[in-house]
Amino acid sequence: MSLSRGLRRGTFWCLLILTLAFLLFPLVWMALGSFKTQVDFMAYPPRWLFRPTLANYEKVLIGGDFLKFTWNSLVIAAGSTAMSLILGVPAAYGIARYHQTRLGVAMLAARMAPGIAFLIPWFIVFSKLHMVDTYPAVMLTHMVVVLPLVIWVLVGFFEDLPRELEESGLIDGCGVLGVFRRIALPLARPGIVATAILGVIASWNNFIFSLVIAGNSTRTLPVAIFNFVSYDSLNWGGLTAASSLITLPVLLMAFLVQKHIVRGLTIGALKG
Amino acid sequence: MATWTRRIALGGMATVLVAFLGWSVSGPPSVGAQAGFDWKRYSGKQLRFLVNSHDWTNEIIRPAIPEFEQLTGIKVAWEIFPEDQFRQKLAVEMVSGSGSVDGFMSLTSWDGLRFLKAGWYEPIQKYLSNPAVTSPQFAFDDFFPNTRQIATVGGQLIGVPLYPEVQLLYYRKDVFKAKNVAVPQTMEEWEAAAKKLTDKGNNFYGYVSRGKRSAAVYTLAPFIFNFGGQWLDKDNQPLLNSPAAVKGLETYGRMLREYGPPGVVNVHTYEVVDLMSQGRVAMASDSSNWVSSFENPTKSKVAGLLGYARIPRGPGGSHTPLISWAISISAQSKNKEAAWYFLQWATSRDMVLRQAKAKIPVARKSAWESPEFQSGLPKEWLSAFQATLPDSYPNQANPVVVAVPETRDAIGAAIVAVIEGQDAKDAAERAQKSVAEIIKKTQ
Amino acid sequence: MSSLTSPEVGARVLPARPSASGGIERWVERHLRWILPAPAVIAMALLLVVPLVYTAYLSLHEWYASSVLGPRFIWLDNYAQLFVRDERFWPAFRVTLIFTVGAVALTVTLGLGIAHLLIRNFPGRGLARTFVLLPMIATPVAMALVWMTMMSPTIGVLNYVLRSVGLAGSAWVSSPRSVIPSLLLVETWMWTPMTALICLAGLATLPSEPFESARVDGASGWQIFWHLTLPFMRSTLVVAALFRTIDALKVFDIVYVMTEGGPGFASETLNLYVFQTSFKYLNLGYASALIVVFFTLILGASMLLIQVRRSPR
Repeated sequence: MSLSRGLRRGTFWCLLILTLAFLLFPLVWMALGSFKTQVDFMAYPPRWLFRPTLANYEKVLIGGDFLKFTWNSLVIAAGSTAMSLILGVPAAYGIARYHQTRLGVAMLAARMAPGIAFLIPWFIVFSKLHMVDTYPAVMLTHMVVVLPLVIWVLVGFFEDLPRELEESGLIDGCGVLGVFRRIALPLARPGIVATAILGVIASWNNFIFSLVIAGNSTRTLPVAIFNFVSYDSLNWGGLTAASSLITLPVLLMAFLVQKHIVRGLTIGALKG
Repeated sequence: MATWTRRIALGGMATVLVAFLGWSVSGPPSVGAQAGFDWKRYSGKQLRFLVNSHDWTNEIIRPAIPEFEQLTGIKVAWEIFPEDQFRQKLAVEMVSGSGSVDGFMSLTSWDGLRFLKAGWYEPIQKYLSNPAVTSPQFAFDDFFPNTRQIATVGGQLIGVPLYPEVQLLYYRKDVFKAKNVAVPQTMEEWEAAAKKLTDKGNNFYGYVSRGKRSAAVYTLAPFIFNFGGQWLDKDNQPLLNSPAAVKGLETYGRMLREYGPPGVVNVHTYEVVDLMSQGRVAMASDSSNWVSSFENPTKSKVAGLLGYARIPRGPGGSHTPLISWAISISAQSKNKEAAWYFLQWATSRDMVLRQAKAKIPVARKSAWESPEFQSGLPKEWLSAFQATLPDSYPNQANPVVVAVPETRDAIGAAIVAVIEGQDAKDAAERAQKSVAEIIKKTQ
Repeated sequence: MSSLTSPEVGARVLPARPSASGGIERWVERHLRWILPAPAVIAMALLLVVPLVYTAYLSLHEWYASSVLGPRFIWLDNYAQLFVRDERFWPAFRVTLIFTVGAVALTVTLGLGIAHLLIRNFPGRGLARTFVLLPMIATPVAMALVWMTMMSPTIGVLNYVLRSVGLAGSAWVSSPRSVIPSLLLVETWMWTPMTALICLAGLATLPSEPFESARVDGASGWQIFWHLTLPFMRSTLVVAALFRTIDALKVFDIVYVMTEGGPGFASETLNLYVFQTSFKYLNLGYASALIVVFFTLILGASMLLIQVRRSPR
């Protein structure tokens, strides 16, 4: 009995470690590589031990516009998430409370449409309004991704709220709006936090919309790294350093608020 | 006592003021400044240029923008993108018709017909002949005649040429010497040399050129021409399935397949430069422009070790395309004169001389013949370039049609197919059919 | 208890509460069910629906954006061209299908497996769960580029690993034969965390009695999995498959960054083909038709999966 238990335990840990190794290897490789010199990177067999250098980070951070692009990514992520929350939180509550199934499905349909379907008309409209390469324009396009996400996740959260609290609020004469403001919102705060984080991550990582709509002054990090690499394709040190810098904020967010993220994603998925 | 102090103070201030005024009137010596021509005429305007990533845009113009801004009072946003993204961005912005772009770089072999048809170019002849907006120092006839011809589309001068390019054979002199290989003069010798110099065990390959779908069309061109082929016939129909084109396609694909590095189908011009600069290949054929990168010791391991030669000849002779990027004004710009100021500054004698000093080929005779250029560039490069020039075909980097990207993709697919080992005749027939169809739809 | 995809018998109307203050607030209260979602709906209508309608309208025209001529109405000619005469459409369709089926199969299977690992209680579980999340959170474009360095045929670390165990190196994304499996590898790495999370949540809600009694009865692990876990997890698995299907059909970032549809057109998905047609060839009329067909495909696949979820066992 104990041998098979031990075997099962051993298999479990083996599989777990293999899984983690597979999932984490590219990230570790990226981080290691960012400290390698060009010579070390081009060496084959690949060097696991090497003298680390900060030259790649220097090159990426200084001289380029990396900080500007980071700022752009931040502003656009914050802006589009904020807008999505303002519009999405009440909407999610309404859909949950009033069981507006069809509206909910419509929001899901928004996720199905390929981004390319909007890009041409958007670009034409934004150009006519002289809004190309402005923060509001890019934020609006990101909202198309973030808003459905917000609603999708929060509907699940709001549905999970214990009805009794809301009902007692109604009995006390609050009115639905009051219940929303004073009872549902505070209770759903963890959900809103989770959603906000998911929204920021989605916007931070977005590529295709920024590629077409953003210009020089609003270029975000994913587009910037793609441009940087296209010109200097074998500068792997610079590539991994830039990649590390770009993914670091979102990875940190994942660590700090992992519980919230998981809850947000799974609630949305199970209720969806 | 107080009065004297006041007088001294006032006198001192006056002196400083006069000195300051005097200084700002004469100004620090800046490019293009001379009495009589009003550089500050459009001061306060803002310009936006979309340009292709190149040593010229990155190393010459970008750092010098503050000088322009100081000279003219015009603010310039100089947006640089790698070629594929640059074309995409430019196309999308021009289509929107919003006038968000004041000027751009244009490769007339690629954009010429399409931009002309779309009315996106602002012809510059009228600015050139207007002394009020053109500095007397500009001297447009300083530009080589064939570069001026390339910058002329449909009879209109649409921009100022920047750097003429042909294709050259780059080879490692040291490796050739060590293996006792002579510089190939014919296509057969070329392939034999590539074979001899390939050392797969040591990760060293005999030949590399572009293998990436659309980009490879440019470097395929000499192969087609050297077997006697052309892109289009006189009725603008493609000749891709002609025996010459098939032979050229077959040879190009075979050389890359047998003697090129693994993954050659993903090689764009930037990777060709990298592979050569890192010392991983014996020969490469690509744009003559890259000499500035190859000879830059901070970027290239093989600086000083490279030889430059004409592309080896075939039965049809040795011909490469001759193309040149130009800098143009957008017809949608709301600041055309200010944009013209930028154009003439960026291509002024002094700026082009800087370009020459950086070993970037130039379109101005004065800069080309300057001692800095002549001594800065390898002698072999200069003689190879000059030898290639007379036999080169202007603008024939690809079929000169309206729908160039689509056409390049179709031909590129054939190139990739042949590199991957498919039959050249079949691939050529497919490309022929596609391109004929594209031309029919779009011209 | 789901309001998005399960059938609900009408909407429950809340009793209208007479509120303390005057008319406007009462009106708002009564119409709250429409007012709450209104701003979001309007925003989505403007940002989403209007462009889609315009795109559908444009699909009936011929329009090369770079020509001075405006759009020309040509009925369904674009669609005829698309289905019959376009030699890139069907290959792109095929590539998209192969990629999607592969991506869904791989991520859902692996995700379910990983969920089984993470459902157990072991020291460091929280940390492990966080680590599992990371590939999904990291910026796709950045990670795709890192994968490209690992996949270099000559000096990449992946080929090094293969060669050191005696296998030949692969050409990865530089050969038409191995490009789609290479892309699938990256896609699987990136999105298995999502399916793992979904499956984990599903596993967590499973009732424990059936499993306990099965174990008591001596059923093997495999039997338990096949006859208990899978049926119970059906709904969850379909949800995971649904989201992965939509995302895989729409894949763009990694393909554009790693291969741009190459070598040749070997990895050109529908989405990428549409992108090239729109922004490289500027053939906006035809691109619109492609978009309509593409969107229909996605809708169709999604409806299919939603039906599967709804159908009673």
